[in-house]
Amino acid sequence: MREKLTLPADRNSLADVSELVERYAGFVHLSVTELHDVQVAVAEACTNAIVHGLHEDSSRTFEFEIESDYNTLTITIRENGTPYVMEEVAPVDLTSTWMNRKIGGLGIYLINELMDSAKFSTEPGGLKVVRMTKNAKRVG
Amino acid sequence: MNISGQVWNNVVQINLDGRFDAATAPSVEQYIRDCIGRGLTHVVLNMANVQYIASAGLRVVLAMTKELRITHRGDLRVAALPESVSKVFELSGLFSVIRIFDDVPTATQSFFG
Repeated sequence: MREKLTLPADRNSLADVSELVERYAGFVHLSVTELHDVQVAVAEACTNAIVHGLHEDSSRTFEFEIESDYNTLTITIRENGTPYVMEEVAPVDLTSTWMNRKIGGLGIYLINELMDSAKFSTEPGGLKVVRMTKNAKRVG
Repeated sequence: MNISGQVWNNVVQINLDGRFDAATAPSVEQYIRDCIGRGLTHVVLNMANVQYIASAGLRVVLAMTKELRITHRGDLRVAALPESVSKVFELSGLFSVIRIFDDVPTATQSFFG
């Protein structure tokens, strides 16, 4: 099964994608924890597109595509906003004291930690693509 | 995200229900700021019904904790993390900077210990 949505660069779009992920997670039989892993990763990737790529200009849109087969959920997010350079993302701070702790860079880190694969690329013409997968890990 | 609160012995318990992401984090932050404005600087965030937390939610938790500790001599303490929320806190290294409790009564009582 596959579905593609074109959504406005508005934070309210996060609810739409989260509900779509929940519906597709049922087709793949993800566990509740696996579902929440995907919802966090999707929230991070879409927030990057909405806030950093498209600057919350709700007249602009991004594309959200979700595909499920028996065992794997694949999600692709595309947007044509401000160019994105991975090397410029702040390194994740996991160790400093509470007074010095910062949250910057955590979004990409969480995507990589919570998904089984995540690929960030820029196509000719500047279209940025995030493609990530989650496999159901069935017990027994 | 539904947000509700109750006050007991000057500790405000804030109950969050739903997704804690970039769409809902500003409402949570504003709710906490309103509590601070009313002089409530001992805050317990009840996360039992949080579906998931993204970095925007973590940012609010950390920012409000810092503000309460530095400016108001208070604290924000987190209670009743569901497994998936706990996993994100752990991955993000927040167990070492935020005081986290198994349940709301223990978190509330910790302000009197």
